[in-house]
Amino acid sequence: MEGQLVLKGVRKVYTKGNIFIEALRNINLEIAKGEFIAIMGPSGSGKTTLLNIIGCLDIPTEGEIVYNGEQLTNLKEDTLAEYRKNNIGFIFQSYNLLPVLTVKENIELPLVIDKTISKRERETRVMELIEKVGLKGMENRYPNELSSGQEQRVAVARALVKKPLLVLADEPTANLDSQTALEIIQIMKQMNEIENTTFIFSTHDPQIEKFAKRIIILKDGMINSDTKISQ
Amino acid sequence: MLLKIAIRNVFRHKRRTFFTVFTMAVGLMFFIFFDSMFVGIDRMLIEELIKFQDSSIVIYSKEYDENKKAYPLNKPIKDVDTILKVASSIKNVEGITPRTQFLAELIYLGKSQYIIGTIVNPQTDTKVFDFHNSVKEGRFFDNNKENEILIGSVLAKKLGVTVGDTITLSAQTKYETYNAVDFVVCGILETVVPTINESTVVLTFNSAEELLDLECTVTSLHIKISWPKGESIPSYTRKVTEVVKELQKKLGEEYKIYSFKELYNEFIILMKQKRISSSIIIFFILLISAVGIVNTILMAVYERIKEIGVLMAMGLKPKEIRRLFLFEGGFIGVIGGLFGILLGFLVNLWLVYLGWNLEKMYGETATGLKPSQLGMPVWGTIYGEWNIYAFIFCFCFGILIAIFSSYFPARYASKLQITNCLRHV
Ligand SMILES: Nc1ncnc2c1ncn2[C@@H]1O[C@H](COP(=O)(O)OP(=O)(O)O)[C@@H](O)[C@H]1O
Ligand SMILES: [Mg+2]
Repeated sequence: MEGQLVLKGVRKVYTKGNIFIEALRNINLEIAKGEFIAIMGPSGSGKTTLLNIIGCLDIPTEGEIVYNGEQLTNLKEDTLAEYRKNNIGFIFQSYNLLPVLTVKENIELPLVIDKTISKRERETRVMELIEKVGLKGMENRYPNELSSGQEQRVAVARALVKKPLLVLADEPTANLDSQTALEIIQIMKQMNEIENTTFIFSTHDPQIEKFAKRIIILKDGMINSDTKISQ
Repeated sequence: MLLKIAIRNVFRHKRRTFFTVFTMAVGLMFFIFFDSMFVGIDRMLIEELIKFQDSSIVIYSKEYDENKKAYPLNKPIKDVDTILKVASSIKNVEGITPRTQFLAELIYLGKSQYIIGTIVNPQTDTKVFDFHNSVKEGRFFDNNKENEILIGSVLAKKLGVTVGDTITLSAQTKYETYNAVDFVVCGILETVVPTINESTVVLTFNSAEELLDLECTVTSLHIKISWPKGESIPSYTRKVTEVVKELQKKLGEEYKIYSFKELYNEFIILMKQKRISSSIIIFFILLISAVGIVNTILMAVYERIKEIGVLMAMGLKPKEIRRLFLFEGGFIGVIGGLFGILLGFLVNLWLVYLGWNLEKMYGETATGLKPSQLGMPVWGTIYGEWNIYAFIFCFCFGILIAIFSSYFPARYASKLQITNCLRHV
């Protein structure tokens, strides 16, 4: 199926000296294009690890990841970088904007890294997104001049600017107050509906959970439940 | 954009960047300064040799040259006047003077010592040599007085000779008969060349006539080629070599013509060896700036680990991460290089035009002795020199050192694991 992501028997073991930590065990998942998935579970249950592996930031110890029928498991670092660049947007819990770049430049960065997009095209896309995430008039501010909610909006815009097929967000609202968290999740949902972008986010927040169309609950590195919600 | 990020990051920590740039600039400044100073010292040494030994160029007859060590009086330069005419028409010739040297025994109050006599023409000698400014006690020759003699300071002290004393010289005349004549000491010579102080007396052609039956015998002609302030040693060497070639062509094989480079060759080689040790000093100075840059870039890497993770998550490849930090180092290098050149330019301005007066610094007041008497290789005022290559080298080297120093931190950054970067707090 077009844009389908499949995880087969994924296992992740961290080694710390003599200690082995099995962060993920036997994860099997199928994710279709356009899904809006919340990954839940207690702290240490493997949410971050799972997102990292889906995002090709880390490689599984065992098992395979197949995207669009293509094996992602045994690719080289540079090829993975290329894959991330073209297909995935990331939103982090602590926003992670580059402090030396303005709002506009931060959002533009992934397009600049891409090198294939013209300056005019970049300009229109960035301005469009700034408008959508509600940051109009703040284009030239630096991150330290923004509130945390505004920073996360920039991060969302940055993750979306390349029109990726998949956006991964590790606890995107954990640092925000509930009102702002709600606004952010709404923006994400809106993008999901308009662009049909796949979103996978981890969260603890029941308020956010409500927006998900599918909820995967992890426990001790295993999938405890996987529920589709009909709305 | 990478460049933009790198540049802005450089300015993110103004104070740290300032210190790095400052260390580097000071390092490069010292490089330019030392380079200029060492060249200045070299030049000064050569200049002193030119002033007191044989000048820039010396001409002998071929036969004399072959027996130089015996100081023969019967192998003179025959057509002195022609050579004087030829030489004075050549560009850059500042002065030309005849000299004749002979071996003699100096006798004073029953003590005696073998010495080298140098016969000079007081009118023209002052245009080529600097003996007239090196008379410590007494005075240079008086045209109206006969049988005057100058005596080296160490020699005078050893024999207990003072100004006004009468000494006797005993020597072989041109016709190989023995003769002895009395002279009155008119001055004590003190130069920077030890052999002159230890074993030389100086007299005029007029005074030497009686002792040696000289009949205007000239065994050597000395030519001074002008050496303006700021002209480099190699450039001066080239200039002198040109004149030597021209003279040789005009005068023919009958004459042996030496440039100062051949005359003081041993000395110049020694000088080059000394430069190696000065290079080591410079190397250490530059090493310090390199350490400063490594430190700055490493700190930049450490504090930006999370940013590195974000950039890698966005698809920046390890080599692009490396480039980012190399840019940053290179940029610091460019600024440091520019400031280094600027500072170097300023100190050199001082060194070239005002000079560094070492005698004043180590002053006679403290020890009662001049640095030259303490066996120090320098005396008087050192003047620097403009060396465009030192500046170019300095700038390029600054950038290279900066890039080289940031290479290791940059490589470290590019090898970081993305997930570790992102987990970093
Ligand atoms: N880089 C790592 N090295 C060692 N252990 C790790 C590493 N990352 C995660 N872990 C461990 O793996 C388990 C799962 O962690 P994580 O995926 O961060 O869980 P969550 O995001 O649900 O809190 C935890 O026990 C954690 O300590
Ligand atoms: Mg986590």
